[in-house]
Amino acid sequence: VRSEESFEGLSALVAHRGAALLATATLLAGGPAAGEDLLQAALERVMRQWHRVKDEPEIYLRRTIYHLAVDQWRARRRRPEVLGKTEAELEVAALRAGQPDGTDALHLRLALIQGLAQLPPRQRAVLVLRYWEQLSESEAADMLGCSLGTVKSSASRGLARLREVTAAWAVEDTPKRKPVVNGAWS
Amino acid sequence: MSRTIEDLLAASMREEVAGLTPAPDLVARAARRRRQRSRARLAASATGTAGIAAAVAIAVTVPSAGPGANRTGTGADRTGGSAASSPRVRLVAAMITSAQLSYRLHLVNTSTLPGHRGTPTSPRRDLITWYADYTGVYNPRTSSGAGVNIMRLQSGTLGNPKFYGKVDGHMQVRIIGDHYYTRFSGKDQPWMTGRGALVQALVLNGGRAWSPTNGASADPAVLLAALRHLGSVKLAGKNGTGGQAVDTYDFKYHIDGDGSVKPHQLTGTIVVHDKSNLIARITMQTKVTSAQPQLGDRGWFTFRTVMTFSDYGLPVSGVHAPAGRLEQEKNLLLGS
Repeated sequence: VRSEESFEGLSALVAHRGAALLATATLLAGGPAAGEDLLQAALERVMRQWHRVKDEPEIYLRRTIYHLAVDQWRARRRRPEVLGKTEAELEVAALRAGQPDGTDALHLRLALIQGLAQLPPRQRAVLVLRYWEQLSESEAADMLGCSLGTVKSSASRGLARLREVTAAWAVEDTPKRKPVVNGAWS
Repeated sequence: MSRTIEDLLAASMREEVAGLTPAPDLVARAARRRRQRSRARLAASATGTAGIAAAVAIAVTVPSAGPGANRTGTGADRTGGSAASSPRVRLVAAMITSAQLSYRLHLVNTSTLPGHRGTPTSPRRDLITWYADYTGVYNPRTSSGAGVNIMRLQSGTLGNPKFYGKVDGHMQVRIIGDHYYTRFSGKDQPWMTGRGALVQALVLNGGRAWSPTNGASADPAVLLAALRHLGSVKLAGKNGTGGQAVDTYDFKYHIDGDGSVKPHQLTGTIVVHDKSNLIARITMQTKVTSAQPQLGDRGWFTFRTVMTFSDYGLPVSGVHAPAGRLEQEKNLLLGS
């Protein structure tokens, strides 16, 4: 039994990296509230394993977030929160975009995020790993504990679905750049 | 529009999560939630490890009640001529006899979540959720004892299976009267103390209360009473000859469910030295399902406890409360 004080390193990690972790969890879970639930669930898991993971807690925490997202979160079938955005919120966000066609761009972004939230958990996780975390395919496979082929097929199917969702915006089909590790663009 | 879907997706993700910050009490909330889950899990563990209570039963029942316990037992035994020779009566008599002597105890307790899958595609394997490997001595006349619990790495969905079972330190245990003292190995680890016996020190590690489930109480007399009155006891066989001869008894009884666990059955075997009428080994197992899977773990657990007694009558003295700073063990089950 460990007291809460025993997780001081974890508190420090969340204090410094909480925003990034929550962002990942939000994209995986389909909204900020569900993302915070997911992050909290991952923290609980890490606490259970604390004596083993305290040397590299962020790695384990990230891995746990993804595993929970692919595993347990699938069973919960949460409705993505992004579907609940109001017209007023859309207008405010469009004004923030500060351009005449901001509403159009905003709707495209929301369509992509909604489409992402509606993908099967593994496809979603792969896309988050590849295009948010900007990991390579092999790194994504390692994070999810699956094969490289699974990552390739999941990414392909996920992107295909998003192209369908955003077809009305005439997004170009052919990728011209590929993300690589460290966030650089080739 | 000329941007690729990958570009747009990455940009959309960045915009979607920009400015998000976690709640300041997120870690504290996770810790509270973890304790809530632990309650259900440990309540189940308490039920499954009633076998540890059997060990304590031997240690405490007679000393705590004095000769009266013996009288109570034999009084019950005298209810009829046929009852006086029943396996149940002989077994209870052996437990009472054993409880009057000091002894060495080796206890191994394993809690397993069978067929666990880390991910939907990963192979199923048994997840060890609790493990105790305790060796110690106890003197019921002074209600004191000491021992060491070997800590081993448990398997986990994130852990590398090859590390499973590796020794990961130890925990010193002292029992003095109705208090236990524990200290984990490692630099500057404090002694922790709480009210309870070996079973609290090993299983709950500070939980003052057990599940209120009948038959799983921290009060060891409950188990003895269960063996006397609740379930069935039968002589399974005799083995060996001369000083090596032993009688083996099988027993089982029903444990009612409560808010933590569903009703379940506990089965076990007790091996008694034929000549001395002292207990050599107790083995118990059960399968437990949480009554609140939304709070505790889903699925079911198996528990198995093996206690081996030896060196009856060995001298046990000089067990003192640790000097210096003591930390009060928190009551896990009450979430304080």
